[in-house]
Amino acid sequence: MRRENRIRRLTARRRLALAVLASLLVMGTAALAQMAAELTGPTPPMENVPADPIPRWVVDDIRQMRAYPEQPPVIPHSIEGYQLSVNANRCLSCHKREFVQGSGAPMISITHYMNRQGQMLADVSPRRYFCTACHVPQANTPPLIGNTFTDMSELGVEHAGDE
Amino acid sequence: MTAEFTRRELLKTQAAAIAAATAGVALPASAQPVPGGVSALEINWSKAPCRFCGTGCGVMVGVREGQVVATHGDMQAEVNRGLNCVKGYFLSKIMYGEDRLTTPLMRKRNGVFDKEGEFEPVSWDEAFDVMAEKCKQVLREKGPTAVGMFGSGQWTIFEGYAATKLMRAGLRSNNLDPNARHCMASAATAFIRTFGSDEPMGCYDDFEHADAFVLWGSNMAEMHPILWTRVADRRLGHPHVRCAVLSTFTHRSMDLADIPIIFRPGTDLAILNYIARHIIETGRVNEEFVNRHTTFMRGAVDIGYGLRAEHILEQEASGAGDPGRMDPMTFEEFREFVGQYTLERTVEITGVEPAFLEELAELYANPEIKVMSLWTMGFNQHVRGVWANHMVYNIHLLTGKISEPGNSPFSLTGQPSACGTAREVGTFAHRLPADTVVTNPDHRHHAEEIWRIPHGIIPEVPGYHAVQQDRMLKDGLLNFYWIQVNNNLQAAPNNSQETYPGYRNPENFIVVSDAYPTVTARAADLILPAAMWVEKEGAYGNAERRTHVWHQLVQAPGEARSDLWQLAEFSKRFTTDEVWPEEILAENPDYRGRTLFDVLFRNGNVDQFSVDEIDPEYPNNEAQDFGFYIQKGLFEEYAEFGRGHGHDLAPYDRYHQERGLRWPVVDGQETRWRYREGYDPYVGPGEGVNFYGRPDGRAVILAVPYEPPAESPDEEYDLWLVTGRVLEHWHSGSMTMRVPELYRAFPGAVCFMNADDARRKGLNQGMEIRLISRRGEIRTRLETRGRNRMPRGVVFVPWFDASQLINKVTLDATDPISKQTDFKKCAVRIESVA
Amino acid sequence: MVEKRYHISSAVVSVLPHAAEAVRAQVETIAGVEVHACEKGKIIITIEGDSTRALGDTLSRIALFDHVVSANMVFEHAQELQENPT
Repeated sequence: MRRENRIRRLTARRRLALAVLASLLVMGTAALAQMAAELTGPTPPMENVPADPIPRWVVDDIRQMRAYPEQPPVIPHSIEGYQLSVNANRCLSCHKREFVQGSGAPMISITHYMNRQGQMLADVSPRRYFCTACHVPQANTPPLIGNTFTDMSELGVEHAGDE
Repeated sequence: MTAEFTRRELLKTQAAAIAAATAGVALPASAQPVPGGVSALEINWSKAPCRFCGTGCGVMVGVREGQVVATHGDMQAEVNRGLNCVKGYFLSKIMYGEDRLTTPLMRKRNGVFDKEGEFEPVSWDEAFDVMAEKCKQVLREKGPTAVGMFGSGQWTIFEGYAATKLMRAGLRSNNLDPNARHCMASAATAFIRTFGSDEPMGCYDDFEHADAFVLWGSNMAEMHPILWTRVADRRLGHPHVRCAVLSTFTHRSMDLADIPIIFRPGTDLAILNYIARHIIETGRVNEEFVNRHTTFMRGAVDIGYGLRAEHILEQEASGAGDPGRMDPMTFEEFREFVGQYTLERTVEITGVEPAFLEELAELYANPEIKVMSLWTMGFNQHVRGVWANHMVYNIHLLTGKISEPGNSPFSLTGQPSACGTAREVGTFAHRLPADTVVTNPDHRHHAEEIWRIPHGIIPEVPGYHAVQQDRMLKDGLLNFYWIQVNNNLQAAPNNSQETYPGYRNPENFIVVSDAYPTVTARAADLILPAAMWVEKEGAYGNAERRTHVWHQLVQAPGEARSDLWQLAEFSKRFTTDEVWPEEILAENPDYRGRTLFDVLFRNGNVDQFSVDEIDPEYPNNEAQDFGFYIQKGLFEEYAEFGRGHGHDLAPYDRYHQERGLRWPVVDGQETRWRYREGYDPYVGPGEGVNFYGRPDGRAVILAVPYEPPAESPDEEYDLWLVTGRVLEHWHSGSMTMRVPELYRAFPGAVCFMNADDARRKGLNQGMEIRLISRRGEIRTRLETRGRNRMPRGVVFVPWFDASQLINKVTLDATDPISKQTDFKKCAVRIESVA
Repeated sequence: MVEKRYHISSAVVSVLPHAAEAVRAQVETIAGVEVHACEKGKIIITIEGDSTRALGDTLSRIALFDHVVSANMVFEHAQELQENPT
C-alpha cells in the first residue's frame, strides 16, 4: 500500500543519514572535502568554480506533503512573472475562496482571514497579502545534502486503522 | 475504524492541543480518543525566539522523543502574532543537516598538530590542550594584543557576556569584535553620537500608528518579512497611509511603494540634506522642540574610506585623522549648510524624478503625517553610514517627529541578537556593557567592581575592529584567533586578499566554533562542534529592545557543545599568574594562582544560583556540568550594569514566562517609547522630552555633506556591484542551504542585471559569466528577470552561496567612524565564460 | 473513491467565568463541535465540517452567545480526504 511504501522510503533515508554521520566522524577531512561547494566552499578554498546552470522550476502541480501540519505548503508550479503588488495579486486570482471552484486550485487557509487580534475578516487579511513571504516554488534539483529531520508520524504514533 | 477516521481524530487532537497551548489551558487526557492514549500523540510545545533575523519573532517549538518535529508562529508573541516567514516556518529542520559537526577536528600530521595537516577527530581535552598552549605561547611572546576573538550577533546574551569577560578581564585583550560590525556598527555609532545611548527610541508598535513609511536602503519584504506584514497591514488596510521606498534597484518592497525612488549609489546623503532644507525653507521646523531638545553640530569632512593607511585615498583625505570630530554650530549656519541641496542640485546628483523628491520631503515636512523611517544595510553598509544615520535623525528632530507612537526613526537589525548581545553586552572592540566604553577610566573601574576583579585589569586601548582583525592576521600581528557563531571568511570584504591569507598565515592559530563545516571552519586549524539554538538555554535581544529567553529543548548531536560551555571550559586552562601582570597580583595576592574560571565565573555572582532553580521540565547541560545555574548568574551580573541606568532588565526568571520584554523594564513595566514623558520612566514630570543619554539632554543635529563612494565605475570596471541577501536564505546560508525546501526555493546565487545592459554586452539570461573586480572574481549565472529589476549600470549578487564567494570581489572600504564595511558599492565588469 | 473536503479548526472561546459551564453545555449541542477543555474562563473547542464557510458560521454563532467575550480561531486545516476502504 501507499503508506507502507512511504514508511519504507523514510526509513531508508534515515539509514543513509546515519551512514553519512558515521563517515564524517571517522574520516574527518576526507568527508569534509567531498561536500558540496555551495555549503563548504570550493576545494582548494577561494578557487573559482564553474556555476551550475539555473535549474528549472517544478511545474507538475502535484501537491507535496508537508513536513509537519504547520508548514506552509510549497508551490508546485512556476510563479515567474506573477504580479504581486498593491494593485494586483496573481496568486489570489486562483487561490482565493471565491475563485477556487473555477480554478481548481486549493483555497488559502482560513487562518489567512484573521487579523492581528485573531478576529476573522470577510476577506484575506492584508498582513497575509504577500504570499511569497511564506510560500515558495521549488527548483527541480536534488538537495545539496540530506536532512535528518524526523517526521512526527515516525516517532511512535500508533495509527488505528493502519493495518 | 478507517485510516481516514483516525487521521481526522489525529488532526482534531492536534487542533485542540494548539488552541489549548495558545490559551494556556491543559487538556485532559480523556478528551483525546486516540489509540495509545495521549502520550502517543503528545508534542511538547515550548516558546523560543526565531534563530534568524533581528525581527525577533516568537515561535512555538514542538518536541517529541528528543527531536524538534514542528514549529509554528507563536500566537502570543506580540512581534508576529502567529506568523513566520518561510525561513521561520522551516526552523524545525535547521539543526538536522546531515553534516552536523559532532566532534572537535584538528589539523594533524603524524599524530600531532600541524598547520599543514589534515583534519582528524580529537577529544575536547586534546583540542583545549593544544588551543591553550598556542594561546599561552602567543601571550608570552607577543602579549595580549596578539590574541583576539571574532564573535556574533547570534551569540546568546550569556555567551557574548562570557566572551567579553574572558577576553577583556581574563586574557586582557580588547581584540574582541562581533560580526555585527559588518551590519550594525554605523547605526550603533550614530545612536551614541546623537542620543548618547544605543538603540531605538521607538518600537514595533509604531507600525500600527504611522501614516507613512519610508524605507531607506532596506528591502523589508525579503529581509524582515514579518515586519513587512505589519507595514502591509497598515498600508493596505488604511487608504490614507503612504509608503516610500528608496533603493539603488527595484526589489520586492517596491511592490507596496506609492513613492518608488531609485537613486545613484551613495547619493542618499544628498536626498536627506534636501529634505532638511525643504523642512526649513517651507517653514515647517518644529521650533519649540528644536530649541528645547536639540543642539546643532558640524561634522568633520573628507574623512577617507577606512582602507589601509597607505592607500592613496587615505593619504589624500584631509579629515581622515579625526573622522568623528563634531563642532558646535548655530541653526542659521545649519540652514546655510543644507541650503546648498536645492531640488535642482539634488536631482542632478541622484538622478531621481523631482516630483518624487518633493512628495517624499512633504511626508516629513507635513506636521499632520506621522512618519516611520526604516533602514538597514543600505544605510549601514555605507562609507558614510554614520552620516546617513545622523541625517535621518536630523529630519525627525527638525520636525519633532520622534519618540512618540508612529513618529519613529527606526534602525532595523539583521541578526537575532545584534542588539541584545553584540551591542548591549558590549562585544565591540571599544565597548563594555550598557553603553560604557573601555576608554573611560570610570567605566572600566565600574566594570571591574561588578566583575569582582582587581582594578587595572581591563585594558584601556580599544582593540582591532573586524576588518582590522583580518589585516592584522595577514600582517602577523594578531596570532591567536577564535571565531564563534559566524562564517567570516564568507562574510568579510575582499576576503581572498585580506582574510584568507591571515587564516593560513603560518604564524597564526585559528579556531572556529560552528555547527556545520562552513568555508571558515575549513580554513581553520581547529574546529569545535557547536550546539545551536534550542540545544541550549538562550537569550536574544531584538531590534525593538525586546529581551527574549528560551529553554534548552533537545540535546545537540555527538560531542557538540554550546559556545558558552566552550568559553567557560576553556577558561579553566588558565591561571591568573599566567595572564595577569605581576604588579596587580602583588597588590591583590588573593587572586594569585586561581583559574580564570574561578575569577570570572566562580566569583560569587555568576555562581550564586543553584541548579535547583532550573525548571525540572527542561534540560540544562551547562548548568549541570558547572554545578550552578550559569545562565541566570551571568544574566543577573550583566543586568547590574544597566539597572538604574536606563537599561533596566527584569529579574531573569520572569523572561521564561514572557514573550520578551522591552527594556528599560522599571517596576515590572516595559518601555515602548524612550525619552518621552508618560512613556519613559526616566523622563521626569514636566520635561516632555529628555534625551538623557547626553549630558545636556539634547539630541545632536549634524551638518555633513554628500561625499562620493570609495570606488565608482569607470571604463575598465563599468558596473556598480551591490551585494545582499534573499528571503529564503539567511546570511551565509550555513543553516538555510541545508533545509531542502529552502535550498530548492533559491538554489544558487545569480547575478541580477539589467536586460538592456546584458544585450549590449552580448550576454543572455542564464549564461555563465565571470564577475571581476580589481580584487578578485567569481563565476556565476546571469539573471535578467526574477525578483530584482536592475537599473542600467548596476548589478546585484547575494552572498549566501559558498561556491560563489562574492566577497572575493568586494572592496574592504569602511565607514571611517563606525569601521563598518560598505558592501553596497564597488566597481566590477562582467565577461562571458564561454 | 470519493473525493471530499474535510475542514477542521480549533478555537479558544473566552467566557465570563461564572457562565463557563452554561456556555459549554450550549456549545456542546452544536453539530460538529467538540469541547476539549474548559478552565479559567476559556473553552477549547474543535469545529469540523465540509467547508470553510460552515466553520466560520459556527464560530460566529458561538461568538454571539450570551456571556461569550470572544471566540477566536487558532488553527485551521483543510484537505481532500480519500475515503478509501482499507
